[in-house]
Amino acid sequence: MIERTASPRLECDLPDGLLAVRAAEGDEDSFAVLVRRHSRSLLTLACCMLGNPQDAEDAVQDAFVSAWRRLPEYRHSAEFRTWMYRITVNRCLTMRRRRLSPLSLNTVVEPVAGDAWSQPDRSAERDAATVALTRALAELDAGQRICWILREVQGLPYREIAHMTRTSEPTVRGRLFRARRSLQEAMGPWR
Amino acid sequence: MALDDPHTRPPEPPEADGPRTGSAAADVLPFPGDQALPCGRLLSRVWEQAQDEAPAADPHTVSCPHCREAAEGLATVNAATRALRAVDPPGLHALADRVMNAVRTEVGLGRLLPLADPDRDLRITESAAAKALRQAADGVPGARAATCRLTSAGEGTDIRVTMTLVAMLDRPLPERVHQVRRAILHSAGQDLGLAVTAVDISVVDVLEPWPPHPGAGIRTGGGA
Amino acid sequence: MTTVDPTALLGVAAEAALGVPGVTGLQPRLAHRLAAAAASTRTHPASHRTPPEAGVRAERAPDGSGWHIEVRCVLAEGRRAVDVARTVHGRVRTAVISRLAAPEPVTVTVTVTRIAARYDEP
Repeated sequence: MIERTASPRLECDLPDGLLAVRAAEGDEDSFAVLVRRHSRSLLTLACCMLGNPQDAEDAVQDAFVSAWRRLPEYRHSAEFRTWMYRITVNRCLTMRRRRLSPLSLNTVVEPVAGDAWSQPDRSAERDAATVALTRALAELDAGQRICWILREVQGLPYREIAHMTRTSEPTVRGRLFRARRSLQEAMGPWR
Repeated sequence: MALDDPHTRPPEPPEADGPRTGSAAADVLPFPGDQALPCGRLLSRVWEQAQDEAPAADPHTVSCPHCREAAEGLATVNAATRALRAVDPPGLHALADRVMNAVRTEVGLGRLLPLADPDRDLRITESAAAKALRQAADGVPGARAATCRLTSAGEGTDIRVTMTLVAMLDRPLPERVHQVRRAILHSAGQDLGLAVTAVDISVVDVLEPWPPHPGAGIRTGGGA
Repeated sequence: MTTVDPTALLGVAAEAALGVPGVTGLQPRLAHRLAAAAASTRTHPASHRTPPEAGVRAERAPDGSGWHIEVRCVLAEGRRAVDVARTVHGRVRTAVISRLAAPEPVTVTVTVTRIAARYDEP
Protein backbone atom coordinates (compact mmCIF):
# COMPACT_ATOMS: atom_id res chain seq x y z
CA MET A 1 0.00 0.00 0.00
CA ILE A 2 1.41 3.35 -0.96
CA GLU A 3 0.86 5.87 1.77
CA ARG A 4 1.67 9.46 2.30
CA THR A 5 4.16 10.21 4.99
CA ALA A 6 2.90 13.17 6.97
CA SER A 7 3.74 14.50 10.41
CA PRO A 8 2.39 12.40 13.23
CA ARG A 9 1.42 14.60 16.14
CA LEU A 10 3.15 13.25 19.18
CA GLU A 11 6.36 11.74 17.87
CA CYS A 12 7.66 15.07 16.62
CA ASP A 13 8.75 16.21 20.06
CA LEU A 14 10.66 13.04 20.93
CA PRO A 15 14.45 12.84 20.97
CA ASP A 16 16.21 10.62 18.43
CA GLY A 17 17.16 7.93 20.92
CA LEU A 18 13.57 7.30 21.96
CA LEU A 19 12.34 7.30 18.37
CA ALA A 20 15.04 4.78 17.47
CA VAL A 21 13.95 2.50 20.32
CA ARG A 22 10.37 2.61 19.08
CA ALA A 23 11.35 2.16 15.46
CA ALA A 24 13.42 -0.89 16.42
CA GLU A 25 10.18 -2.44 17.70
CA GLY A 26 8.58 -1.90 14.31
CA ASP A 27 7.02 1.54 14.81
CA GLU A 28 7.16 2.95 11.29
CA ASP A 29 5.79 6.35 12.27
CA SER A 30 8.64 6.92 14.69
CA PHE A 31 11.08 5.95 11.97
CA ALA A 32 9.33 8.39 9.61
CA VAL A 33 10.04 11.21 12.07
CA LEU A 34 13.72 10.24 12.13
CA VAL A 35 13.78 10.12 8.34
CA ARG A 36 12.28 13.59 8.04
CA ARG A 37 14.53 14.97 10.74
CA HIS A 38 17.75 13.75 9.15
CA SER A 39 17.16 13.49 5.42
CA ARG A 40 18.15 17.07 4.72
CA SER A 41 21.65 16.87 6.16
CA LEU A 42 22.23 13.35 4.84
CA LEU A 43 21.12 14.34 1.36
CA THR A 44 23.39 17.39 1.44
CA LEU A 45 26.21 15.09 2.50
CA ALA A 46 25.50 12.58 -0.26
CA CYS A 47 25.11 15.31 -2.90
CA CYS A 48 28.49 16.74 -1.97
CA MET A 49 30.11 13.30 -1.94
CA LEU A 50 28.62 11.95 -5.14
CA GLY A 51 28.09 15.15 -7.11
CA ASN A 52 24.92 13.76 -8.64
CA PRO A 53 21.50 14.40 -7.08
CA GLN A 54 19.95 11.16 -8.30
CA ASP A 55 22.77 9.02 -6.97
CA ALA A 56 22.58 10.99 -3.74
CA GLU A 57 18.88 10.25 -3.34
CA ASP A 58 19.51 6.57 -3.99
CA ALA A 59 22.36 6.51 -1.49
CA VAL A 60 20.32 8.14 1.26
CA GLN A 61 17.30 5.95 0.60
CA ASP A 62 19.47 2.83 0.72
CA ALA A 63 21.09 4.08 3.91
CA PHE A 64 17.75 4.60 5.64
CA VAL A 65 16.36 1.24 4.53
CA SER A 66 19.55 -0.43 5.72
CA ALA A 67 19.24 1.42 9.05
CA TRP A 68 15.65 0.24 9.42
CA ARG A 69 16.81 -3.36 8.98
CA ARG A 70 19.66 -2.94 11.43
CA LEU A 71 17.79 -0.95 14.08
CA PRO A 72 17.14 -3.99 16.30
CA GLU A 73 20.90 -4.37 16.71
CA TYR A 74 21.63 -0.62 17.04
CA ARG A 75 22.98 -0.37 20.57
CA HIS A 76 22.93 3.39 21.06
CA SER A 77 26.68 3.47 21.62
CA ALA A 78 26.70 6.27 19.05
CA GLU A 79 24.00 8.87 18.56
CA PHE A 80 21.47 7.99 15.90
CA ARG A 81 22.64 10.91 13.79
CA THR A 82 26.25 9.70 13.87
CA TRP A 83 25.18 6.14 13.15
CA MET A 84 23.22 7.36 10.10
CA TYR A 85 26.21 9.40 8.90
CA ARG A 86 28.36 6.30 9.03
CA ILE A 87 25.89 4.24 7.06
CA THR A 88 25.41 6.99 4.49
CA VAL A 89 29.14 7.65 4.06
CA ASN A 90 29.77 3.94 3.56
CA ARG A 91 26.96 3.76 1.05
CA CYS A 92 28.33 6.74 -0.89
CA LEU A 93 31.83 5.25 -0.92
CA THR A 94 30.46 1.96 -2.23
CA MET A 95 28.53 3.76 -4.95
CA ARG A 96 31.59 5.74 -5.97
CA ARG A 97 33.68 2.59 -6.17
CA ARG A 98 31.07 0.88 -8.25
CA ARG A 99 30.70 3.84 -10.56
CA LEU A 100 34.43 4.23 -11.03
CA SER A 101 35.20 0.57 -11.51
CA PRO A 102 36.57 -0.09 -15.02
CA LEU A 103 34.64 -3.36 -15.02
CA SER A 104 31.36 -1.59 -14.37
CA LEU A 105 28.68 -2.63 -16.81
CA ASN A 106 26.63 0.48 -16.15
CA THR A 107 25.47 1.88 -19.44
CA VAL A 108 25.87 5.43 -18.25
CA VAL A 109 28.92 6.26 -16.22
CA GLU A 110 28.50 9.87 -15.27
CA PRO A 111 31.48 11.97 -14.39
CA VAL A 112 31.30 13.83 -11.11
CA ALA A 113 29.48 16.87 -12.36
CA GLY A 114 30.79 20.18 -11.11
CA ASP A 115 27.37 21.78 -11.36
CA ALA A 116 25.42 18.89 -9.95
CA TRP A 117 23.09 21.16 -8.06
CA SER A 118 22.52 23.65 -10.81
CA GLN A 119 19.82 21.69 -12.59
CA PRO A 120 18.02 23.95 -15.08
CA ASP A 121 14.80 24.13 -13.07
CA ARG A 122 16.65 24.99 -9.90
CA SER A 123 19.32 27.39 -11.06
CA ALA A 124 17.10 30.40 -10.47
CA GLU A 125 16.84 29.73 -6.77
CA ARG A 126 20.45 28.67 -6.41
CA ASP A 127 22.76 31.12 -4.86
CA ALA A 128 25.73 31.83 -7.12
CA ALA A 129 28.08 31.28 -4.21
CA THR A 130 26.65 27.82 -3.62
CA VAL A 131 27.16 26.88 -7.23
CA ALA A 132 30.73 28.16 -7.17
CA LEU A 133 31.43 26.24 -3.96
CA THR A 134 29.91 23.05 -5.34
CA ARG A 135 32.08 23.39 -8.44
CA ALA A 136 35.16 23.94 -6.35
CA LEU A 137 34.26 20.97 -4.17
CA ALA A 138 33.98 18.71 -7.18
CA GLU A 139 37.56 19.59 -8.10
CA LEU A 140 38.87 18.43 -4.73
CA ASP A 141 40.53 15.14 -4.06
CA ALA A 142 37.81 12.77 -2.79
CA GLY A 143 39.43 12.26 0.60
CA GLN A 144 39.74 16.00 1.16
CA ARG A 145 36.20 16.60 -0.02
CA ILE A 146 34.60 14.16 2.40
CA CYS A 147 36.60 15.50 5.35
CA TRP A 148 35.67 19.07 4.48
CA ILE A 149 31.96 18.27 4.07
CA LEU A 150 31.75 16.33 7.32
CA ARG A 151 33.54 19.08 9.21
CA GLU A 152 32.38 22.34 7.65
CA VAL A 153 28.88 21.47 6.44
CA GLN A 154 27.88 18.81 8.94
CA GLY A 155 29.96 19.93 11.92
CA LEU A 156 31.14 16.49 13.04
CA PRO A 157 34.05 16.10 15.48
CA TYR A 158 37.48 15.17 14.09
CA ARG A 159 37.45 11.81 15.85
CA GLU A 160 34.15 10.91 14.23
CA ILE A 161 35.38 11.96 10.79
CA ALA A 162 38.56 9.92 11.23
CA HIS A 163 36.46 6.90 12.20
CA MET A 164 34.12 7.27 9.21
CA THR A 165 36.89 7.76 6.68
CA ARG A 166 39.07 5.09 8.32
CA THR A 167 41.99 7.42 8.81
CA SER A 168 43.60 9.19 11.73
CA GLU A 169 42.72 12.56 13.21
CA PRO A 170 45.95 14.18 11.98
CA THR A 171 45.17 12.93 8.48
CA VAL A 172 41.72 14.46 8.73
CA ARG A 173 43.22 17.77 9.83
CA GLY A 174 45.75 17.66 7.02
CA ARG A 175 43.06 16.99 4.44
CA LEU A 176 40.93 19.76 5.88
CA PHE A 177 43.79 22.20 5.57
CA ARG A 178 44.44 21.30 1.96
CA ALA A 179 40.71 21.43 1.20
CA ARG A 180 40.43 24.91 2.73
CA ARG A 181 43.46 26.04 0.80
CA SER A 182 42.07 24.75 -2.51
CA LEU A 183 38.58 26.11 -1.88
CA GLN A 184 39.96 29.48 -0.89
CA GLU A 185 42.04 29.62 -4.06
CA ALA A 186 39.06 28.61 -6.16
CA MET A 187 36.57 30.93 -4.51
CA GLY A 188 38.52 34.08 -3.89
CA PRO A 189 42.07 35.32 -3.46
CA TRP A 190 43.73 36.76 -0.40
CA ARG A 191 42.60 40.22 0.30
CA MET B 1 39.37 15.94 -11.83
CA ALA B 2 40.15 13.92 -8.76
CA LEU B 3 38.15 10.74 -8.86
CA ASP B 4 40.09 8.62 -6.48
CA ASP B 5 38.64 7.10 -3.39
CA PRO B 6 40.08 7.26 0.12
CA HIS B 7 40.22 3.49 0.24
CA THR B 8 42.20 3.05 -2.92
CA ARG B 9 44.53 5.99 -2.53
CA PRO B 10 48.07 5.57 -1.34
CA PRO B 11 48.44 6.63 2.27
CA GLU B 12 49.02 10.25 3.13
CA PRO B 13 52.59 11.47 3.26
CA PRO B 14 54.05 10.31 6.57
CA GLU B 15 54.56 13.84 7.86
CA ALA B 16 50.80 14.41 7.67
CA ASP B 17 50.26 11.78 10.32
CA GLY B 18 52.40 13.49 12.92
CA PRO B 19 50.78 14.65 16.11
CA ARG B 20 49.12 18.04 16.00
CA THR B 21 50.67 19.94 18.82
CA GLY B 22 49.47 23.27 20.08
CA SER B 23 49.89 26.55 18.28
CA ALA B 24 53.47 27.23 19.20
CA ALA B 25 55.74 28.80 16.63
CA ALA B 26 58.15 25.91 17.15
CA ASP B 27 55.83 23.59 15.20
CA VAL B 28 57.34 21.86 12.26
CA LEU B 29 55.34 22.31 9.08
CA PRO B 30 53.11 19.26 9.39
CA PHE B 31 51.03 19.63 6.23
CA PRO B 32 52.28 20.00 2.69
CA GLY B 33 51.59 23.53 1.54
CA ASP B 34 51.38 24.89 5.06
CA GLN B 35 53.18 28.12 5.80
CA ALA B 36 54.28 30.14 8.79
CA LEU B 37 52.78 33.60 9.07
CA PRO B 38 55.05 36.57 9.88
CA CYS B 39 53.99 36.22 13.54
CA GLY B 40 55.23 32.63 13.58
CA ARG B 41 51.90 30.89 13.66
CA LEU B 42 51.09 28.20 11.13
CA LEU B 43 48.39 29.02 8.62
CA SER B 44 46.77 25.59 9.10
CA ARG B 45 46.55 26.12 12.84
CA VAL B 46 45.17 29.65 12.52
CA TRP B 47 42.46 28.40 10.23
CA GLU B 48 41.61 25.55 12.55
CA GLN B 49 41.29 27.97 15.45
CA ALA B 50 39.24 30.41 13.43
CA GLN B 51 36.82 27.70 12.33
CA ASP B 52 36.63 25.62 15.49
CA GLU B 53 37.08 27.80 18.53
CA ALA B 54 35.34 30.66 20.22
CA PRO B 55 36.54 34.02 18.88
CA ALA B 56 38.33 35.10 22.05
CA ALA B 57 39.81 31.71 22.95
CA ASP B 58 43.40 32.71 22.16
CA PRO B 59 44.63 36.19 23.16
CA HIS B 60 47.27 36.15 20.44
CA THR B 61 44.89 35.74 17.51
CA VAL B 62 42.59 38.43 18.88
CA SER B 63 45.32 41.02 18.62
CA CYS B 64 47.55 39.69 15.81
CA PRO B 65 46.88 41.38 12.44
CA HIS B 66 48.52 38.53 10.50
CA CYS B 67 46.36 35.90 12.10
CA ARG B 68 43.27 38.00 11.59
CA GLU B 69 44.07 38.56 7.93
CA ALA B 70 44.68 34.84 7.44
CA ALA B 71 41.40 33.95 9.11
CA GLU B 72 39.51 36.49 7.02
CA GLY B 73 40.89 34.79 3.93
CA LEU B 74 38.28 32.10 4.45
CA ALA B 75 35.38 34.58 4.56
CA THR B 76 34.23 33.91 1.00
CA VAL B 77 34.32 30.16 1.49
CA ASN B 78 32.52 30.47 4.80
CA ALA B 79 29.76 32.61 3.33
CA ALA B 80 29.25 30.07 0.54
CA THR B 81 29.25 27.24 3.09
CA ARG B 82 26.48 28.93 5.02
CA ALA B 83 24.51 29.32 1.79
CA LEU B 84 25.07 25.64 0.97
CA ARG B 85 23.76 24.62 4.40
CA ALA B 86 20.69 26.78 3.92
CA VAL B 87 19.73 25.42 0.49
CA ASP B 88 17.51 22.36 0.30
CA PRO B 89 19.28 19.67 -1.70
CA PRO B 90 17.38 18.51 -4.79
CA GLY B 91 14.97 15.65 -4.23
CA LEU B 92 14.58 16.38 -0.52
CA HIS B 93 10.83 16.70 -0.49
CA ALA B 94 10.08 13.38 -2.15
CA LEU B 95 12.77 11.53 -0.24
CA ALA B 96 10.93 10.82 3.02
CA ASP B 97 7.96 9.34 1.15
CA ARG B 98 10.26 7.19 -0.98
CA VAL B 99 12.09 5.91 2.06
CA MET B 100 8.93 5.10 3.98
CA ASN B 101 7.36 3.34 1.01
CA ALA B 102 10.48 1.21 0.72
CA VAL B 103 10.44 0.50 4.47
CA ARG B 104 6.75 -0.43 4.47
CA THR B 105 7.43 -2.88 1.67
CA GLU B 106 9.63 -4.81 4.05
CA VAL B 107 7.60 -4.74 7.20
CA GLY B 108 6.36 -8.15 8.26
CA LEU B 109 3.42 -8.55 10.58
CA GLY B 110 5.45 -9.69 13.54
CA ARG B 111 3.65 -11.27 16.48
CA LEU B 112 -0.13 -11.37 16.60
CA LEU B 113 -2.23 -10.96 19.73
CA PRO B 114 -5.86 -11.88 20.27
CA LEU B 115 -8.36 -9.03 20.64
CA ALA B 116 -10.82 -9.43 23.50
CA ASP B 117 -13.54 -11.36 21.70
CA PRO B 118 -13.68 -15.00 22.78
CA ASP B 119 -16.10 -15.98 20.02
CA ARG B 120 -14.36 -14.70 16.94
CA ASP B 121 -10.86 -14.95 15.52
CA LEU B 122 -9.82 -11.28 15.77
CA ARG B 123 -6.16 -10.37 16.05
CA ILE B 124 -3.95 -7.32 16.17
CA THR B 125 -0.24 -7.03 15.45
CA GLU B 126 1.96 -6.39 18.45
CA SER B 127 3.39 -3.29 16.72
CA ALA B 128 -0.04 -1.72 16.19
CA ALA B 129 -1.12 -2.39 19.78
CA ALA B 130 2.22 -1.19 21.18
CA LYS B 131 1.93 2.01 19.22
CA ALA B 132 -1.47 2.82 20.72
CA LEU B 133 -0.27 2.04 24.25
CA ARG B 134 2.89 4.11 23.85
CA GLN B 135 0.75 6.99 22.68
CA ALA B 136 -1.42 6.62 25.78
CA ALA B 137 1.68 6.71 27.99
CA ASP B 138 2.96 9.78 26.13
CA GLY B 139 -0.26 11.51 27.10
CA VAL B 140 0.84 11.54 30.73
CA PRO B 141 2.77 14.81 31.26
CA GLY B 142 6.42 14.22 32.06
CA ALA B 143 6.46 10.65 30.78
CA ARG B 144 7.36 9.13 27.42
CA ALA B 145 7.25 5.46 26.50
CA ALA B 146 10.38 3.73 25.20
CA THR B 147 9.94 -0.01 24.59
CA CYS B 148 6.57 -1.71 24.74
CA ARG B 149 6.11 -5.46 24.44
CA LEU B 150 2.87 -7.40 24.64
CA THR B 151 2.60 -11.10 25.38
CA SER B 152 -0.16 -13.54 25.99
CA ALA B 153 -0.78 -13.94 29.73
CA GLY B 154 -1.98 -17.41 30.39
CA GLU B 155 -5.29 -18.53 28.98
CA GLY B 156 -7.70 -16.93 26.54
CA THR B 157 -7.25 -13.39 25.39
CA ASP B 158 -5.39 -12.10 28.47
CA ILE B 159 -2.43 -9.87 27.67
CA ARG B 160 0.59 -8.73 29.68
CA VAL B 161 2.17 -5.36 28.81
CA THR B 162 5.83 -4.68 29.58
CA MET B 163 6.81 -1.06 29.08
CA THR B 164 9.92 0.99 29.75
CA LEU B 165 9.56 4.70 30.36
CA VAL B 166 11.63 7.82 30.44
CA ALA B 167 10.28 10.29 32.94
CA MET B 168 10.97 13.73 34.31
CA LEU B 169 11.99 13.88 37.94
CA ASP B 170 9.94 16.93 38.90
CA ARG B 171 7.33 14.73 40.56
CA PRO B 172 7.50 11.46 42.48
CA LEU B 173 8.04 8.54 40.13
CA PRO B 174 5.52 6.13 41.72
CA GLU B 175 2.75 8.65 41.10
CA ARG B 176 3.74 9.08 37.48
CA VAL B 177 4.09 5.34 36.92
CA HIS B 178 0.63 4.90 38.40
CA GLN B 179 -0.79 7.44 35.95
CA VAL B 180 0.89 5.68 33.04
CA ARG B 181 -0.49 2.32 34.16
CA ARG B 182 -3.99 3.78 34.26
CA ALA B 183 -3.53 5.37 30.83
CA ILE B 184 -2.39 2.02 29.40
CA LEU B 185 -5.31 0.11 30.88
CA HIS B 186 -7.76 2.75 29.69
CA SER B 187 -6.38 2.80 26.15
CA ALA B 188 -6.21 -1.00 25.96
CA GLY B 189 -9.89 -1.17 26.85
CA GLN B 190 -11.23 1.88 25.02
CA ASP B 191 -9.01 2.28 21.94
CA LEU B 192 -8.13 -1.31 21.21
CA GLY B 193 -10.35 -3.78 23.02
CA LEU B 194 -7.45 -5.73 24.40
CA ALA B 195 -7.81 -7.67 27.67
CA VAL B 196 -4.73 -6.37 29.47
CA THR B 197 -4.47 -8.11 32.83
CA ALA B 198 -0.93 -7.18 33.84
CA VAL B 199 1.21 -4.08 33.27
CA ASP B 200 4.91 -4.05 34.14
CA ILE B 201 6.50 -0.63 33.97
CA SER B 202 10.10 0.29 34.61
CA VAL B 203 11.60 3.77 34.39
CA VAL B 204 14.88 3.48 32.51
CA ASP B 205 16.00 7.06 31.99
CA VAL B 206 15.41 10.68 32.84
CA LEU B 207 13.38 12.65 30.31
CA GLU B 208 15.29 15.77 29.38
CA PRO B 209 13.58 18.74 27.82
CA TRP B 210 13.48 18.39 24.03
CA PRO B 211 14.34 19.97 21.72
CA PRO B 212 17.51 21.14 23.45
CA HIS B 213 17.18 24.60 21.91
CA PRO B 214 13.73 26.09 22.33
CA GLY B 215 12.46 27.77 19.22
CA ALA B 216 14.16 25.27 16.92
CA GLY B 217 10.86 24.95 15.14
CA ILE B 218 9.86 21.61 16.62
CA ARG B 219 6.59 21.67 18.42
CA THR B 220 6.73 20.64 22.05
CA GLY B 221 4.08 19.37 24.35
CA GLY B 222 1.10 17.71 22.80
CA GLY B 223 -0.85 14.94 24.41
CA ALA B 224 -4.42 13.87 24.08
CA MET C 1 -22.51 -27.61 -7.66
CA THR C 2 -20.33 -25.88 -5.11
CA THR C 3 -17.45 -24.81 -7.33
CA VAL C 4 -16.63 -21.17 -6.64
CA ASP C 5 -13.94 -19.02 -8.14
CA PRO C 6 -11.65 -18.08 -5.18
CA THR C 7 -10.76 -14.82 -6.94
CA ALA C 8 -14.41 -13.81 -6.86
CA LEU C 9 -14.52 -14.53 -3.14
CA LEU C 10 -11.45 -12.34 -2.57
CA GLY C 11 -13.11 -9.42 -4.31
CA VAL C 12 -16.34 -9.84 -2.35
CA ALA C 13 -14.52 -10.08 0.96
CA ALA C 14 -12.32 -7.07 0.19
CA GLU C 15 -15.30 -4.95 -0.77
CA ALA C 16 -17.17 -5.94 2.40
CA ALA C 17 -14.17 -5.14 4.62
CA LEU C 18 -13.45 -1.80 2.97
CA GLY C 19 -17.07 -0.77 3.46
CA VAL C 20 -16.76 -0.94 7.25
CA PRO C 21 -16.38 2.49 8.88
CA GLY C 22 -12.93 2.76 10.43
CA VAL C 23 -11.21 0.56 7.84
CA THR C 24 -8.87 2.70 5.73
CA GLY C 25 -7.26 -0.05 3.70
CA LEU C 26 -6.25 -3.66 3.43
CA GLN C 27 -2.67 -4.67 4.03
CA PRO C 28 -1.26 -6.50 1.02
CA ARG C 29 0.80 -9.57 1.64
CA LEU C 30 4.58 -9.29 1.40
CA ALA C 31 4.76 -10.91 -2.04
CA HIS C 32 2.38 -8.32 -3.45
CA ARG C 33 4.23 -5.49 -1.82
CA LEU C 34 7.56 -6.71 -3.16
CA ALA C 35 6.11 -7.06 -6.64
CA ALA C 36 4.69 -3.54 -6.45
CA ALA C 37 8.00 -2.18 -5.21
CA ALA C 38 9.89 -3.92 -8.01
CA ALA C 39 7.52 -2.44 -10.58
CA SER C 40 7.61 0.99 -9.03
CA THR C 41 9.81 3.65 -10.53
CA ARG C 42 11.33 6.72 -9.06
CA THR C 43 9.22 9.10 -11.08
CA HIS C 44 5.85 7.49 -10.41
CA PRO C 45 6.06 5.84 -7.03
CA ALA C 46 2.30 6.01 -6.51
CA SER C 47 1.32 4.58 -9.87
CA HIS C 48 1.64 0.94 -8.86
CA ARG C 49 -1.13 0.34 -6.42
CA THR C 50 -1.74 -3.18 -5.29
CA PRO C 51 -5.36 -4.30 -5.64
CA PRO C 52 -7.36 -4.51 -2.39
CA GLU C 53 -7.80 -8.27 -2.88
CA ALA C 54 -4.10 -8.57 -2.07
CA GLY C 55 -5.08 -8.04 1.58
CA VAL C 56 -7.40 -11.06 1.64
CA ARG C 57 -6.69 -14.76 1.51
CA ALA C 58 -9.32 -17.40 0.77
CA GLU C 59 -8.54 -21.05 1.38
CA ARG C 60 -10.56 -24.16 1.14
CA ALA C 61 -10.21 -26.38 4.19
CA PRO C 62 -8.03 -29.39 3.34
CA ASP C 63 -10.89 -31.82 3.91
CA GLY C 64 -13.16 -29.83 1.61
CA SER C 65 -15.45 -28.92 4.47
CA GLY C 66 -15.60 -25.18 3.85
CA TRP C 67 -13.78 -21.90 3.35
CA HIS C 68 -11.38 -20.00 5.51
CA ILE C 69 -11.02 -16.28 4.81
CA GLU C 70 -8.30 -14.07 6.29
CA VAL C 71 -8.55 -10.29 6.06
CA ARG C 72 -5.74 -7.93 7.00
CA CYS C 73 -7.01 -4.43 7.77
CA VAL C 74 -5.48 -1.05 8.36
CA LEU C 75 -7.74 0.96 10.67
CA ALA C 76 -8.12 4.66 11.25
CA GLU C 77 -7.46 6.00 14.72
CA GLY C 78 -10.57 6.97 16.65
CA ARG C 79 -12.66 3.79 16.78
CA ARG C 80 -12.23 0.84 19.07
CA ALA C 81 -10.20 -1.73 17.14
CA VAL C 82 -12.09 -4.76 18.44
CA ASP C 83 -15.44 -3.26 17.41
CA VAL C 84 -14.26 -2.50 13.89
CA ALA C 85 -12.70 -5.95 13.60
CA ARG C 86 -15.92 -7.57 14.79
CA THR C 87 -17.95 -5.70 12.17
CA VAL C 88 -15.45 -6.66 9.47
CA HIS C 89 -15.70 -10.28 10.63
CA GLY C 90 -19.50 -10.27 10.36
CA ARG C 91 -19.78 -8.48 7.05
CA VAL C 92 -17.06 -10.48 5.34
CA ARG C 93 -18.59 -13.73 6.50
CA THR C 94 -22.06 -12.71 5.31
CA ALA C 95 -20.74 -11.48 1.97
CA VAL C 96 -18.78 -14.66 1.30
CA ILE C 97 -21.66 -16.94 2.29
CA SER C 98 -24.00 -15.05 -0.03
CA ARG C 99 -21.59 -15.66 -2.85
CA LEU C 100 -21.34 -19.43 -2.38
CA ALA C 101 -23.49 -21.50 -4.73
CA ALA C 102 -24.39 -23.94 -1.98
CA PRO C 103 -24.24 -23.63 1.83
CA GLU C 104 -20.76 -24.30 3.16
CA PRO C 105 -19.13 -23.44 6.49
CA VAL C 106 -17.14 -20.20 6.38
CA THR C 107 -14.64 -19.17 9.05
CA VAL C 108 -13.08 -15.71 9.08
CA THR C 109 -9.94 -14.34 10.70
CA VAL C 110 -9.55 -10.57 10.94
CA THR C 111 -6.08 -9.20 11.58
CA VAL C 112 -5.56 -5.52 12.43
CA THR C 113 -2.11 -4.82 11.03
CA ARG C 114 -1.86 -1.11 11.66
CA ILE C 115 -3.77 1.78 13.15
CA ALA C 116 -3.01 4.79 11.01
CA ALA C 117 -2.48 8.02 12.91
CA ARG C 118 -4.56 11.03 12.06
CA TYR C 119 -2.01 13.34 10.63
CA ASP C 120 -1.74 17.08 10.79
CA GLU C 121 -1.79 18.21 7.21
CA PRO C 122 1.34 20.23 6.52
